[in-house]
Amino acid sequence: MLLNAILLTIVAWLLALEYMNGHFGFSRPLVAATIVGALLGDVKTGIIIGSSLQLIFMGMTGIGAAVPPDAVIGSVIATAFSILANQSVEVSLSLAVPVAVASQALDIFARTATTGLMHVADKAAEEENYNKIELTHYLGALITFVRVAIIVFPAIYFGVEVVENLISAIPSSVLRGLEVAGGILPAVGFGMLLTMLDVKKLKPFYFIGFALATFGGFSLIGVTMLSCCIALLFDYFSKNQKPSDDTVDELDKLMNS
Amino acid sequence: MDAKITKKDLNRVVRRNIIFQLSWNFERMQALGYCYTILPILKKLYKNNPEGLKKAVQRNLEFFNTQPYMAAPILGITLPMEEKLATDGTIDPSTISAAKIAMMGPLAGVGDSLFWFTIFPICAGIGISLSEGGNILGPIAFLLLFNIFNLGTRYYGVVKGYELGTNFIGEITSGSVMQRISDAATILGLMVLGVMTATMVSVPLGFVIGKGDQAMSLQMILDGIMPNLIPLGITYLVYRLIKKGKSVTKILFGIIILSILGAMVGLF
Repeated sequence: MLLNAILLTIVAWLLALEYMNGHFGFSRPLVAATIVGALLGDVKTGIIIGSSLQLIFMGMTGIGAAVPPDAVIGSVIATAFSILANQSVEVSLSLAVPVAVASQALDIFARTATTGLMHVADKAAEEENYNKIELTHYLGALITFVRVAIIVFPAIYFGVEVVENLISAIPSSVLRGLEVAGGILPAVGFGMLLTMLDVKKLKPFYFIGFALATFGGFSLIGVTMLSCCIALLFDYFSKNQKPSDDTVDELDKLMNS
Repeated sequence: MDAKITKKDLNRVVRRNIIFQLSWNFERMQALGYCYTILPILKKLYKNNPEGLKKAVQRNLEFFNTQPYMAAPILGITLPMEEKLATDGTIDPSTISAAKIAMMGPLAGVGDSLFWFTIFPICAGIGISLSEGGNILGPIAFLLLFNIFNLGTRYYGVVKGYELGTNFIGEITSGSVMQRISDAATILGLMVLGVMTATMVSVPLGFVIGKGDQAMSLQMILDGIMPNLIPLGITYLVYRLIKKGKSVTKILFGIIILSILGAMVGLF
């Protein structure tokens, strides 16, 4: 069992990395379950579980900043249980979803922790140590390993209940708080971008974009279309503007204060 | 300076692009991956200019996020701009940032609907139907089909994007035209940023004032004033704090600690 637990932890780690990087499809339930099945000596069960899991998880894909239930870990656990513990396919499938949700909670931890790497990279850039920047990027894989190993190893070695107990031991307010922080943190990235695009006369366009999305229900593509038109018009009018007299009036003074 | 981006460099970008999201995080998402992917090219372009290299690296550590395959054309299109900035400095660095922002949002939308909602379900559907009864052909067919689109977009995105960017940049020589392009790109970038502030920053307030029938959630009250008021407020506050020179790390930990405290007192 120990050997299986180690083997499956490593496989789950590689698949989790593939899910975030490359996206060749190896980590999709259909293929992931097949791979686990092959490693445990029962490809056929793997494929059958995989195609059912694929249907269950079909709609759950990472879009934008949202973190979906972890189909990768769910698939590995479900297939392993079906083959190792001789569970029926149905029981294994019902195990997959709670494990996927538990793994998702840990993923939120991991993605928050990875934010720290970003700041190590900032410091490395300040020191002009560019190899360190590359190393920081690679370290993301290590965080993924920890997150996967915490769930997969005990689940295979001790059983799924142990994992569920482990997750419920974390105070729910801490989990909720991290989840909320995950929703707020993009604001830091956007705040930094605003300092990059800090052109005073163009500032209103930020609020136009915001208002179109908030009140007009515009999608990003819709706003992009509009902003292209606005940019062209802006260019036309500013090119054909007559040079005005240079005096600064009271309003200008107020606006620039 | 004659450092030029060669075909070999572009292939390297395609290869590095495969582990683009290794360091994905909530704050700046794919930023480190973006910097990592183009780092060899930046090093080459700024071979004799350590100060320029430092600035370029820092600039490319800014927030970036798009659909993973769609990063390829954005990388391709912005590389000629980096090349121009490094060789003759006639392009404003903020124009490159604005171009990145202006492209990442819309291309993410296109990429999500094209790959995740169209191509992926079709390929997976074919795979599932072939794998009936445990047939190995199913997973294999899925992998083959899907990766034609995956690898194709990754490779041609970078290579064709680079050609497109080079042709465009090559036409422009005068500084006044560059200024106009910079303004236009900034307008696009700011508007996309405004939309992303409204749609990607979320503060789910669960706090309820009053009891029984009179109960009103804080969220409802704030939505009555203006929806997305809090995301806008927080983003703008962060912007002001950074401008004042506050460290981003402090802001970050502040947000995490306040979020957990907020969850403990039942604000969220």
